[in-house]
This record gives sequence, C-alpha cells and structure tokens, in this order.
Amino acid sequence: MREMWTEDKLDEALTTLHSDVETDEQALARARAQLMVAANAEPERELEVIGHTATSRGKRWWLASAAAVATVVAGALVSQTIQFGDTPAMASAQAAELLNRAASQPINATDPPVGPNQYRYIGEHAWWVTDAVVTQGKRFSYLGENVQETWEPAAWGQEWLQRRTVTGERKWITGTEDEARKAGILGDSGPSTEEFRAPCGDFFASDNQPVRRPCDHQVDGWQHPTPEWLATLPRDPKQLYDRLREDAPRNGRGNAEVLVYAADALRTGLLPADVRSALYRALTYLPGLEITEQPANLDGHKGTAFGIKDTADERQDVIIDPVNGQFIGEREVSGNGTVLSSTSVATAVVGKMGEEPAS
Amino acid sequence: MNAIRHPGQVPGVNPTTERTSPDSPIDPDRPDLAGPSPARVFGRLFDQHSRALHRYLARRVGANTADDLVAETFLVALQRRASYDPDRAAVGPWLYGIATNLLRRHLRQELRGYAATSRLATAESRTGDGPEARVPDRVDADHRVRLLADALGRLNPGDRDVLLLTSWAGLDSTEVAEALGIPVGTVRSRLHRVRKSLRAKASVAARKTEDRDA
Repeated sequence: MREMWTEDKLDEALTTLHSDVETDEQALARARAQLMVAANAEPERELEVIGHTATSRGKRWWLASAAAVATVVAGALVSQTIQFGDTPAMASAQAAELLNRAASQPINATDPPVGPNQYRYIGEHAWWVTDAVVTQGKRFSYLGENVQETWEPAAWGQEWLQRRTVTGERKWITGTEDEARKAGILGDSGPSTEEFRAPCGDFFASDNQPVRRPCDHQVDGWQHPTPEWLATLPRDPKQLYDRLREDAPRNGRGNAEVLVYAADALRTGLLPADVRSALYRALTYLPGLEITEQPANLDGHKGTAFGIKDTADERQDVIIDPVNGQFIGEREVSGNGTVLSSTSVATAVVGKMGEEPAS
Repeated sequence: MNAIRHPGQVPGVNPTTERTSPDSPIDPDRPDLAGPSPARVFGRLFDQHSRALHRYLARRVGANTADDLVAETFLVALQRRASYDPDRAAVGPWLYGIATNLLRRHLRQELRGYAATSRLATAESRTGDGPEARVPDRVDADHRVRLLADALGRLNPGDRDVLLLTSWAGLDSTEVAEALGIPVGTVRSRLHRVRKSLRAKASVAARKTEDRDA
C-alpha cells in the first residue's frame, strides 16, 4: 500500500524549507551600486565589476597588494585575561573596563518615552564601498553615502516609515571623481530617495513568496529585533554572550563575526536600554576584542573603537562613547587601514512621522 | 498561487489595444530595457525585483552566494537587455531565467544545503525526546521538511527548477515556461509529475526512516 502526502502537506513543507533566509540590505545596496556603475558605462560595455563576487566579506583586491600599509592601532595590542567573578573575561582589560563603564551610564538604564502620538526616529548615516575596474586596467573604488531614516511608532503594530536616500556623495579610495567621469562610469546619478511604509517595521513582507502580510511570521533576529525576539534574550551578560555566539554564523570570520552580529543589532537602534547595557557587558567576554582607536571619530562623533580582526585581516569595530554610554556606530576596516564601510546612528523622539529631529 | 496569465496579457489590461498604443502608460512589468538611459530603467528594475530574487536564490544556495548572484543577474540582464522583448513576457520571469542559469554553477553547493538541512533535522529529531517534549504536529512538520530537503536534492535539475520557480519564486506555468525557455505544456506536465513523485517518494522515505528509528 502506498501512502502519499496530500498536496497540502507538500506545499506546507515547501513553504517552510529554508524560509528563514535573511537579506543583507548592505549587500543589496552594493549590488545596486555596481549595477549603476555598469549601467552608466554603457554602451561602451568595457566595464567589468569586481569586488564582492567571490566572498562578500572576504579578501578584496587592494588587500592583496604587497604594499599594504601596516594598520596603526592605538590601545592594547595583546588581549589580556581578567577575572569577573568566576568567569574569565576574554576582551582586553582596557576594552572591558570601558565597556563596563559605558554599560553603567544612565542612557543605558532607561529610554526616553515615546508618547502615543510620537515616533522614535532612528537615523543611520552610512558609507558603503563600491569597486569597479575598467578593462584597460583602470580601477575605481569609492564609498557611497547612504542615509536611512526610520520612524518607529509608539506601538509596534502601527504604521512605520522608512526613508532611504542615496545622496550621490562619494569618497574616493582609488581614482578620482573626474577620472571616473571621464571613463564614463558615472552618469547623472544625483540623489535618489525611496520611502516604505508598513506596520511592525516589516517593510518588505510582500517580497516574500508566498507573499506575507506585514507582521505575519515576521523574520526576527539580531538584524531584525522584534519585541517578541527581544523578550527571548537573556539580560545576564554571560548568558547573552553565549546566545550571541550561538546565533552568529561560523563563516570563517571567527570572533569578528560575533561582533558583526552585535553591531547589526546595535545599528538598528531598536535595542532597549537593558539589552544595550547587557550587550556592552556581554562583549567583555569576546576573546580578542580590544581598543583599536581612541578617540575614534565617526561623522564628527567621538568615542572609543572596540574591534576585532577576522582571518582575512579585516577588522570590525563598534564605536561607543564610554563617558555617556552612547552607541555611535560601527565600521569595517581593511588590513591597510582603509575604511570599507561605516554607519553612524542617532536616535531621538519626534512628534510626527517624517519629521527629522532638530540637530 | 498566481492566476494563470497568457503571454502578452497584462493583468487588468486589454491585451489587444494598450500595449501597441504609444500613448499608453509604461507598464512596469514590461519595461523597455533597450532605451537610452539604462541607469534609470535598471535602477527601477533592481528596486522592484532584487529583494524577492535574493530571497529565492538564498533559499536555494544560501544568503552569501545569493548576494553575489543577485548582483550578477542584474549585470547579465544589463548586458543582454537588447534580447528582452516586452511584448513577449513580463520582465520578472526573464530575470528569474537569467538567475536560474547562473544558479547551475552552484549546483554542488545547493545540493550540500539540502543534505545539511535533512541531516540537521535528523539530529534534532534524535535528541528531541528530551525534557522539552515537542508538540507532535510540529515534529511531523519538521520531519516532512527534512524529507523534502532530501528529496529535492535527488530531483533532476530541470524538475527542481520548475518546482521551485513555481513554489518559491511564485511564477505561474506560463512564466516558468518563459523563464526556462520551454513550452508551457512541458512545464505543466513536469510540475504534475514532480509533485506526484515527491508526495510518493517522501512518504516512502518517511516509512523507511520510521522503520530504521524503531
């Protein structure tokens, strides 16, 4: 006797299998920028775009250069082990001390309340790398400026707004704006803005197949901290560290990837004060974490950079002001000291959706 | 499931008039890719399709490879934009067709992914009779997902493309036919056959596993 699954059972299994995939907005933005470079170079069609085709976070071409300049690292160069109660902490002593100091600041004890008709504004100011090579051997790479602003309502299920702007500003790493323009790879690429609205901050639910309704089976995690997911996080620093470690993928980037996950969550601006405070303390358990620059300046905000290198010599930093406890932002730095991407984050309470805080 | 559409037919639009009229509004599903400003057209194309495409690719080969494949799909689309005929098909299936071709280079990785999922779930179900006894329905559903992963890895590539373009990318038979460049009748018969074989194979595998575990 052959017993068969019903059509529904098959569809249910198909819908579930590998449905927990996540989309890295930064990778998409990079892909879009590469496409724009190539589209602007048409019809010459002599451009090939390189950079992230092998591994998105792996070695990049300028790292292969033998002339790579040594990174200047301030602060501790050797990680030390110190004791917190019975558990050995694995970040350097200096890093642990400053992280603990930041964790205990009032800003990480309570969050400013968001009233019923108010919104929490989360402004992310990012510079993301794009690299391209023209077949004549001429290379270009630049950091493109991206601004992402999110208005979170008082209640999670109300409508949110997200505004994404590619400003068209560039900081050149290799080549110049003039050279790139002459080579024809930059067209008329002025600023472009897109707006998305959805409850639960679930802006891309309809991109799923089958199409989801916003809030329904919302993807959550370190990149998308929903209230339900946040409730599952332990507030004990060591337990939170274990959870972070467990959730971060083992992708060859070693402990740097653990810090990437912490940075992803902090960057969303959606972590409540108690989780921020616990997360700062959790990072004191991260082996190899050390102070990599002090003071570090991100968009004019000064703080301390806490960083860790991956196996390809690429470094992930989070930048925190230890004096007032503020999370300033995060960045990736290549082995020769080139900043590959950076994001600074600012939050404020505002009275209207779409309104920017007075600076 | 999408309603079945015919080539040349746009939902809600009379196919005989609108597309040929020069005054008709531009149909976002059938853009003119060969026009003079590729950057604008492709920027819009990317914004409309990249996230769904990424999700489809990530479910097949993982998110990291999907990052690269999305970038590559749009670059190939740009190079081949002269070959896209808006009168014949919507642009979505055309993009999925390009992506499906690029996917073939990652077959081994895709198969490893299904194998890993089937093993992962096996390990869970073996240790799953601990104190946190799980709801039987949930266990059954997880079990089916594992069996499906295993069965997907054993399909021939053409069958897998038809099944997953339908189920994961949400294309209808006509669109799958456009994406893969095969007749729509072939798509329908293949889909029917592969679904039937999965329903049977997976349940046979289920019985074998149950026997072994007993």
